[in-house]
Amino acid sequence: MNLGSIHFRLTLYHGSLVAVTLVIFALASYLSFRRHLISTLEAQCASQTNQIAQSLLVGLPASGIAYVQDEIQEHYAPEANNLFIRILSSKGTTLYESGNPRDHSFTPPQLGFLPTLDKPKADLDPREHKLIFIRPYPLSNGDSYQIQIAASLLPVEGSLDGLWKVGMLLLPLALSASVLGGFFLSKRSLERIREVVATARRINSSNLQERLIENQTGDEIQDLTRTLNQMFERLEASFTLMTRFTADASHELRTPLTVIRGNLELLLHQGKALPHKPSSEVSEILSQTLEETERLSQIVGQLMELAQLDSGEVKLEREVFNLTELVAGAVDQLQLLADDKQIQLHTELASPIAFKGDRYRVKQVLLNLIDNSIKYCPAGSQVCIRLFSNSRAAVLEVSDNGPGLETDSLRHVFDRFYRVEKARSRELGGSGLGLAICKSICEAHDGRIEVESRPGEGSTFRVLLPLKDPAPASRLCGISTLPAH
Amino acid sequence: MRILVIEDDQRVASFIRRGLAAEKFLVDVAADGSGGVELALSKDYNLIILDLMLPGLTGQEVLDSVRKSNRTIPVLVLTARGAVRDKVELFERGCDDYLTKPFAFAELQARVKALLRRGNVESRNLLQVADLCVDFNKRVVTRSGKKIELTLKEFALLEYLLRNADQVLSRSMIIDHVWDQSFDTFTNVVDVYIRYLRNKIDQGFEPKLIHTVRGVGYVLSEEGAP
Repeated sequence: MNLGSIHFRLTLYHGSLVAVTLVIFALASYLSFRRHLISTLEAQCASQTNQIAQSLLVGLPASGIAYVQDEIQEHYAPEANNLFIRILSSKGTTLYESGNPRDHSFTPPQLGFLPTLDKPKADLDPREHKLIFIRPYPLSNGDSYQIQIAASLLPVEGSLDGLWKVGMLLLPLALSASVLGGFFLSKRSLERIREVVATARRINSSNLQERLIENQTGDEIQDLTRTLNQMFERLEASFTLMTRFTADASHELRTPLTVIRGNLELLLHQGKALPHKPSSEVSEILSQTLEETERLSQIVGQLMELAQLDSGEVKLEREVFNLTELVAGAVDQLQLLADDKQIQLHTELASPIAFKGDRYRVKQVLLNLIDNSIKYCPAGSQVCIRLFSNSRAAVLEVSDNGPGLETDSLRHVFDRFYRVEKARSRELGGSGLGLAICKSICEAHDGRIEVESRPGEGSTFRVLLPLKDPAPASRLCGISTLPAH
Repeated sequence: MRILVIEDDQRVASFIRRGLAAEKFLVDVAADGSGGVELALSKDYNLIILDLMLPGLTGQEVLDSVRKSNRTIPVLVLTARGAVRDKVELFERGCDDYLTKPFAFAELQARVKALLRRGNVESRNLLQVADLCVDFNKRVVTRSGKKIELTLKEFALLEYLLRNADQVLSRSMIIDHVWDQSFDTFTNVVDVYIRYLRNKIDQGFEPKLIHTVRGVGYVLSEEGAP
């Protein structure tokens, strides 16, 4: 799963939000339940101390201590109920003190008479698992008593423990259920965006007239589709304009170029027969101009070729031929150029590959790539030409151990008139259009061309040509099913 | 020798006429297709140079009508396109050679001469220029009596230059003849082969025989570049 995708992020945000909400909710429930249990226990202690005071201590002067002790024992049975009761008087005597609670859940508090205490107070002692409640009770005869009750916190803790366990079990369950739900929900709504993206990706320079299918759903995705379609519309318009311009311009340039060239030649070659023979300086200038005119003619010719490839005006001559043989032939043709620069050409060619396409143009790509390597590599370099195939595509690689390309150049190397080293490549006679033509030819064959290179480590140009001749409708899918590199 | 030029662009037609006239050809110019057909049928021309893009009748229609009445006259077509498919189609429709605009005049001249010489091409098996002798049967090359070893391609190149001695040959003409397939963007292959050939047959000998014609191509000649 792509960690940067909206789908992943939506699921992540959704999951985190649910997790935080659940934890806050669980904590709040736990705390309020605990508070409720403790205050219930407090209220119980308060009422018991109140009963002892109101019903027993009030009549102490008349009934005597023994009676009070008996009554408490009888009514409250503190040991059996896991309570501890103690009654102290202000004179320092202990009127009553129960034994240890039967379940030994806590040790009775060792608390004396608190002289400053004037109203009931509760003390929570979680470490000792007990609650201590003290109620002061002054009699009308001036005597003052304090009733202490300690109660065990074990029942409270038991209940809370149960709640904790339920929470620990339910929380992850609820969380995963919600994340899973969110995952599928967002997947469903993003599915349509993915469809739009896939269709949009298939549209390239050779099928710019295609459009996305606009579903009348009235939602954001329809909006997106319509916007994309409008963009394609504008792209197509400007692309057509550009292609037509290039074609028209190069066409219009041909005739004047022919005239210039022809007249220059006449001047140069027939001028020698004139009574005033042109000086050698004039001849030199004329020759130079003629050479530049020839180069200009070449550029115009290549521009024309590019425009024709772009507009699809020129149909490829598709025939089945042996690609391996073609590669071997191309290498053979350029062997001399390589020898001339002391560059070694190595070939690793697969067994015969039958390919359907334009033999002349595929060879043009090959010659161009190998020629480039020979041109730009220093003497003594190695150029390796590799041809192999998998089930879907024929792969042709031309790699060298020459100077390589900067990352910046890599992006533009297939652009028209792009030159890596401007002065040098012009000196070598390049027009700056060779690789652009290669790219157009590869694309016209539903294939592609790519380059890998690092400065100082040589370059590899790779041509991928799909082997099956796909039907026009599915021809675009042919591109996307090529192996990724 | 009488040549008919059917070309609507006056400037192009004018330099072709001047250039060919300087080579002692008689040149007539027709500015559109129907005029061209009229002239072609009324006079006895040795060769027709035909622009494919014409007002009125298209070059293709002109070619068809000319071929109907005269099946043998050589027709050299000028075209704006150089695609291989166009080339094949042109030959199928009855043109004998073609040139893509913009072309070098020297190339036009060489092709015109080649078309006019067709049928009586230099076919002797033994040719000599200065002290360079080539025996095509035995594939033996000597200069000043010294035997020179050539590779197959070098020999083919020399044969082409020699059989067209004193004719300027453009790089693309050389490629068309010496290599099986045209790959015109790589004309420096020709330059390299020429250099190799020069090293073998010209180095250390006088006079030099292979000359560079700048902006156009090469010529093998005893006299030097034209």
